[in-house]
Amino acid sequence: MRRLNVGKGEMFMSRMELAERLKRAREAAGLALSDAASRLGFQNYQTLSSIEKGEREVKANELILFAQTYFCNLNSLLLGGDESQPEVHFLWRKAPASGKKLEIEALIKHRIEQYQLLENLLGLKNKGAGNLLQVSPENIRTNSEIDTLANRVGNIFNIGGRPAFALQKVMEQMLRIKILFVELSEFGSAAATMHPEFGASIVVNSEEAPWRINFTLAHELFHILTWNICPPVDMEKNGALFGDIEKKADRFASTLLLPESEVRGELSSRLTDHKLTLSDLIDVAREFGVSTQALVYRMVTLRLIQWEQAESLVKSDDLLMLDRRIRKGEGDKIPVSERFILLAVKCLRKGFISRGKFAELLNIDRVDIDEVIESYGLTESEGESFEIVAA
Amino acid sequence: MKLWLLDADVTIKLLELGVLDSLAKQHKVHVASTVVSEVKYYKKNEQKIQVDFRKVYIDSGKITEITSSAEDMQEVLRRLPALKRDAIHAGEIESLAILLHEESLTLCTFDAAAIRVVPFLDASERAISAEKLLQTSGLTLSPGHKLDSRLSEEYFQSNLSIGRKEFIYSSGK
Repeated sequence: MRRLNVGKGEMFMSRMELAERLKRAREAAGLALSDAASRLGFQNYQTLSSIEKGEREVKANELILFAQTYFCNLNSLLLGGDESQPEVHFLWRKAPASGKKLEIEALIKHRIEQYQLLENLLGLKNKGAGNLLQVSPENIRTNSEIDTLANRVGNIFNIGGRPAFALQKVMEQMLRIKILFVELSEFGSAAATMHPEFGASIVVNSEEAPWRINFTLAHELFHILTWNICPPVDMEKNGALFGDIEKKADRFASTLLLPESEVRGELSSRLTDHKLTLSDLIDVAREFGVSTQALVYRMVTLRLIQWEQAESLVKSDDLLMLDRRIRKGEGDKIPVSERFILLAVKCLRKGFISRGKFAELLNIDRVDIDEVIESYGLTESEGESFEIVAA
Repeated sequence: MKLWLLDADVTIKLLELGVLDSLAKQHKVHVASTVVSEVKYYKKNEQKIQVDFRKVYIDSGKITEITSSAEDMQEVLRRLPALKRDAIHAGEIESLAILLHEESLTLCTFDAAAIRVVPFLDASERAISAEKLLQTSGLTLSPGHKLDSRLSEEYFQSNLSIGRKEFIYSSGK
């Protein structure tokens, strides 16, 4: 192997500067020296230690590994990041354990930055239609007010009678909320964040069932809409407030995804002698893209059943087993951020990002690029352009 | 004998076309270290074929691996406008760093974003399309094989021209 040795390095960056950046990046990702060394494939932590002390040179392919392992850009490692940028603050539904929190948040922040890069490359300055909705504390004091807010959101964005199937698109394309699907496993559930530079983002556990994801999206949408009136810092300090806002977010999600007239209509059409079978109940839940449990609790708020009846229903083994049987195979599809993929393809098509970058963003092998693009019904080719009369 | 520097996509394409070995026999072929680790598969008749690129091409001496340092890559990034720095993959940045310092090498790429960056490195004369590489090297494809339009000289020149305009525009700012 030949080594480039041009002797100009000193002009730009000392080894010590890079060493310090690498150390800061490791710490920001919440990784201990030994843990990072093992992930980087070093046989012992001393190698990494000497890199961080500036005693050992870093090769190009090692730098790539560093960037991947520490969830940062090569550019920020080599030229330094924007230190003035405000911190990204996440509001977690259930925060990851302290040992894992920094690492998960670093990964998510990196994904948000990648998303932002695509928007910047395409010149998408528009922050979305979120400003159509001004939410004040008076809008969320009572359940009835929350229902009104949910109905208003449904009407403004015209999400129809089965909102769950349009919600992700509306949130991504109209509200410009960055939706990220991350394998969180047991480390945490959903999170929301608002940032002056990156805008609104929602993190969803990709391992959740689709009907749970729909509910999570609606729940987190409430947090985004009320971000300024229920600041996460206040909620994190006050457990009772957090619990109260979480209940409000659930109420909002339930009303948004299960519009009263639609639910009543659908249930009525299946009644026989004022009775509904368990399989009909599950079918209606599937029809609306929500969990059966969510539908049962919505029926309580619509005063169709009593709370005690709902509690007994959701704990019923019969319902649980039937639900599993009917929904078998429905949760096999891995959720993706459709807008992120569209933006990435658009950037590749326009020559704004390299093919290697595209593969990195979609976490695929280079050789699969064309096939993956085609699998989304897209193409890398721009095609001929033609003139239209200006609208 | 020409001195070629191939990026990862071109290397994969030449493996698919079955001409990489002939090219390496007739000319001196170089790749960046990141390319060695990135080229893991190629496709033939819609089948994904695994290749141990290091063993078959580097260890055997058919192709020369060049590695660049962090400083070399930093120099490339410094020459690019801010928005382009994050838009080019580290593997391509390494190939460009090598191109910048190894003046005897000619880079072959069909990556639009990478081609557009070449004028920023003042290396437009040392970058080439896959179509021209095949022609210059005297390699012919099997009869009836239609070359992917992205490998064409026209596609390359069109992107190089965009890159030149971007460079002039950014210099004037």
